[in-house]
Amino acid sequence: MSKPNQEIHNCILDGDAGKTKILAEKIVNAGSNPTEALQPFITAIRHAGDLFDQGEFFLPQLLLSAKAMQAAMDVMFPSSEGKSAARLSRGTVIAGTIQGDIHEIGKNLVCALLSAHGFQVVDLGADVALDRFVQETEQHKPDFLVLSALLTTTMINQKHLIDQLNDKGIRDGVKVLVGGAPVTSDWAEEIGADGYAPDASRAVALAIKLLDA
Amino acid sequence: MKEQIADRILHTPPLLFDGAIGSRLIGMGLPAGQAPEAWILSQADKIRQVHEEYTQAGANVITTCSFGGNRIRLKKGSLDRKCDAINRRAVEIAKEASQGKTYIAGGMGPTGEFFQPHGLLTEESADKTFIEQAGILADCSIDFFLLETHYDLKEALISLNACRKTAPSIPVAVTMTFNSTPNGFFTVMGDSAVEALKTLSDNGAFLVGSNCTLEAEGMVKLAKYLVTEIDTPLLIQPNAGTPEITPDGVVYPQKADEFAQSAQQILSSGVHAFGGCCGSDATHISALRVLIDKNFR
Repeated sequence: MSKPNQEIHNCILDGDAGKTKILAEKIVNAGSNPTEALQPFITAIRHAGDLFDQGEFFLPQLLLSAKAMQAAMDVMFPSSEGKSAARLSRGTVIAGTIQGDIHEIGKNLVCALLSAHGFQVVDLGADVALDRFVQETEQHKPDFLVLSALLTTTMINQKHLIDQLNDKGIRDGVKVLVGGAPVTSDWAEEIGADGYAPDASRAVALAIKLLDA
Repeated sequence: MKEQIADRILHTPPLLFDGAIGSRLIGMGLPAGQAPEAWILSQADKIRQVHEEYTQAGANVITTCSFGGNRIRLKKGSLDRKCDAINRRAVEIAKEASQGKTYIAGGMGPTGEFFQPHGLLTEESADKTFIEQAGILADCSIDFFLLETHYDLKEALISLNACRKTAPSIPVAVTMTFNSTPNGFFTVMGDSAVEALKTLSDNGAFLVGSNCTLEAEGMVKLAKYLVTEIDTPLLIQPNAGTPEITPDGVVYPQKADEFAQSAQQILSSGVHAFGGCCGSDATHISALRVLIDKNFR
């Protein structure tokens, strides 16, 4: 790994948002292509995810790394760029943790990684009412609806939402991706979702695959 | 008159706690995503039935249906204004079902929020909300507090201290939920199981332990490890297996006999108290009753 890339890697893994922002600013000021320059940041946040899976990182470290990643994203892809950001966008995503479920962490990671890969993400937060998902889908017509459920008691609401989208006649216009600790590919199939991913990085891979399909 | 819980816990046979409330209520029709506390005021008969099932199954402890009864958590279901009534009624219902046959544990769970900078929770707001809930439960004459499923030592300590200062004469039990990692057992926030439980014990918990998350094999391993490291009496409350999705809904796969097999190993390790968490019902608690009676004849 080159020295600048190593520096980026360390800043993300240390969860140092301040330093990460400075490094991102240097890249922007040097006139580099932000999409290409993003690669070492993505490698670093994926490494943080792997360390979490291996029990070397815990939630606080992972969240700090995600915040550092977000700091870089804010500098390299400022939302004020408007149209140019849309041109960069691979696709649009509306994401949220489903009604009754207050868990945000997994969904936040998915949003951070999707943003990192050039998706435009609208994060509705946690405990999002089914009506709100329907309303936002009608209004923004996103490419993807990403639904998280961390509880066995709330995952059924993923099914209820898909039923509501069908009732409204807007189901076919959007690809529904589901995830969360108790969710499986069998469940995704059973409720008629377009896909399931077991973790944040595979959620990104799935979204890209479905977009290219 | 019952022996004080803090004395009783030191003797054999181990105390038998009850099983799950939330998953049992879902089986009885509680809608997905709705807090069990919502039923305290509207469907008291169903909550009472669950407590009665556990009392009849031979549990020594009934836990009030107030796990999510703190104001921060209740607010998620727009129930925060009913905080006082919900907690009071939760104790009443448990007592109606128990008829004096069991100890009554005042159940308290975490807020479900993360502390700043990861979330919005502050120490002051956590302290305030736990003091409020502990005060109401204490006012209803419970035998002890049972703080369950904590995933952050910091929050567990705030809750423990809130109980201690609100009602110094009421003992406090605390269980945390741990994950198995290649480096040992930790909370998701990175608190090591032994360090966390020792800290809770040093801060006055008379009973500490683990509930939820781990499957049977992991819980057996954790229990065997904890008894060698922790001097304070231990409470272990595993789930009835890892939940599976079936066309009929979410199913916890461990039936009572299988649950009892792993329980046997945990009891043999020398824990002082045992019960069930998610997915367990009266059949599991009955099986544990038989097991304890057989082991400590």
